[in-house]
Amino acid sequence: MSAPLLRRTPAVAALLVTLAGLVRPEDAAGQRVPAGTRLEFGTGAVGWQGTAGLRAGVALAGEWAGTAGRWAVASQMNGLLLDGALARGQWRATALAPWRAGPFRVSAAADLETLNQPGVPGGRRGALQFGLASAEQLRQGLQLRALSGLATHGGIDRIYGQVQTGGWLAVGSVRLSLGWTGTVATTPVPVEPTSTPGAMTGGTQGGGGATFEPLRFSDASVGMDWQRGALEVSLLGARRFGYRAGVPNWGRAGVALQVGGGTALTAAIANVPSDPLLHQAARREFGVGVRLAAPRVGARADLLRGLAYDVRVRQGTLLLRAAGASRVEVQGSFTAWEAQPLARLRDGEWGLAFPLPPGLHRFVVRVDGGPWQVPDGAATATDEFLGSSAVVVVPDPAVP
Amino acid sequence: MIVLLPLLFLAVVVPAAHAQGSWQDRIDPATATQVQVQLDSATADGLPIGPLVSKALEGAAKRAPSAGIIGAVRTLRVQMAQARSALGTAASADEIEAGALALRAGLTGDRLARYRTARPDGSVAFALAVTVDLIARGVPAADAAEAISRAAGSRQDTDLAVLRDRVLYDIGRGTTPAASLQSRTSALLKAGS
Repeated sequence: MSAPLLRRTPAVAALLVTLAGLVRPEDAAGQRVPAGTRLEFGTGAVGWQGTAGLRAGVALAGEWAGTAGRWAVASQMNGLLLDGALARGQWRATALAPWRAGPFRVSAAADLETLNQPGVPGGRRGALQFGLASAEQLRQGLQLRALSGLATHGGIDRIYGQVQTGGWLAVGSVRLSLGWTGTVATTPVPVEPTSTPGAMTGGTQGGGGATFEPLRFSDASVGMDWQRGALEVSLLGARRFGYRAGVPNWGRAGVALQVGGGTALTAAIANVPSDPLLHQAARREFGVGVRLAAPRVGARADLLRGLAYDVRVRQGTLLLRAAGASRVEVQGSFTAWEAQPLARLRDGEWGLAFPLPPGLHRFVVRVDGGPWQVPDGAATATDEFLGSSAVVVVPDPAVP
Repeated sequence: MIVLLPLLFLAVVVPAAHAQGSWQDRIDPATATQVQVQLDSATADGLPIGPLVSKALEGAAKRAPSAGIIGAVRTLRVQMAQARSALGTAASADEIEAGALALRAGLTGDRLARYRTARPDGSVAFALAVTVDLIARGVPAADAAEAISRAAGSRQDTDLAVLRDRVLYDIGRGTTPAASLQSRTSALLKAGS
């Protein structure tokens, strides 16, 4: 494999992993795909062994709830212009979750990743995985996932397996996570020499004086997600054990600033680890982008944050979830059908400024100036005006 | 508590904008005149007029045509009268409003009367509201009325709230609304009986 082609491969792979730092493969696999439909597009730079490339890409993530469970689908398409040639990469993932099994939630996911570069065989990798996560642990929990797949690159097929485990804990508006991933493959892989960081020698078995070794390594990570107001911050730091080539430490940092109308500006920087299965070396990258989220009330998909409701009344206060919104208003029988703004609380939660009196109330909500609608999860009653309203019931505390 | 501080702030800073001004100011004069006729009729019949004003304002907020607003207010007045007839002349304003919603949701006057029979001395407003909620979530109206009126006869409103939450829990996990309500109601009535 020639040096320019070697440069392209990891760069395309880097795009697959962190377009803007906010839609990631593990998001879909771990059921953290944002609620509703979300579109991201961005551009940035990729640095690898002193060579810089220009990249552009688009990512789409969506979530739909049905009677069989909840489907989450994510897809990324990326292009990279490097050395005058265009390389392309795609990644798709589909997840179905959750089935409830005793104290656990069971999920299944499949993902497919492809690389296409001028003049060299493409690379493909696909995997099926099953996950187990503690159920109903709203602010903390544990999860375990196992996956197995087939990776093909340079004419070599490798069956590989991974075990992933970890936990999460929400403290105020901060969500902390710990993770561990162990990886094994059936076929030896070319080793990234330590003398030339970032490069991987050889692309075919036994060619180019490559060094091969059994693949068996693990990654331990610690992450943090934080949101306050319109600002979202995501950090992840990790270290690789048992794989002697390459730089052991990797991580990423991303920020998003909501600017209204469901639009957010994003930026991310990442030190991406090598991927021996697809013959991709470690690299660094930086990107900026724009995220467009369809205004939507409710965040049923945000299960790992433990917010398994969309609208509810707590201590007489109307609370609802509106992921990604910058302004939420309500009008109903308790506001004399006049629009009232809700206060932003935390974790995408919004609340009414005054308690609801006991009784039955009907209302509709509006997100970011969009249409008035019934929030997901609320009881819906049709009205006499060819529309509908949400219905909430507030018990009278004076009545036992 | 920290979470609720923004609400406190809003409650202080935001003027009581939800306090009603004159409802006529938000409806065109011709429509307001016709709505006032319905209000006068309700007053003469001893019915509460708050729900009727709210219905007129809802129509205005949803940009319904004048005829639609007037028709909705008239329909609600008639349903409130039917509800009071079923629930008794001593029915409270909340009970009458909830009863009217229940009628609109598909209950009959006879089924409405069973709530009063089941709970002759206490308010049935919350029980009716739970019924409307469950119907909206897919429970057949007859099944919802049968189950909730039975439960209201021997259980308190807090038990009905728990019952509703458990049905919603089951629905979210794939159980049919009617089956869930039946089994949960049976369990509630067996418990402590």
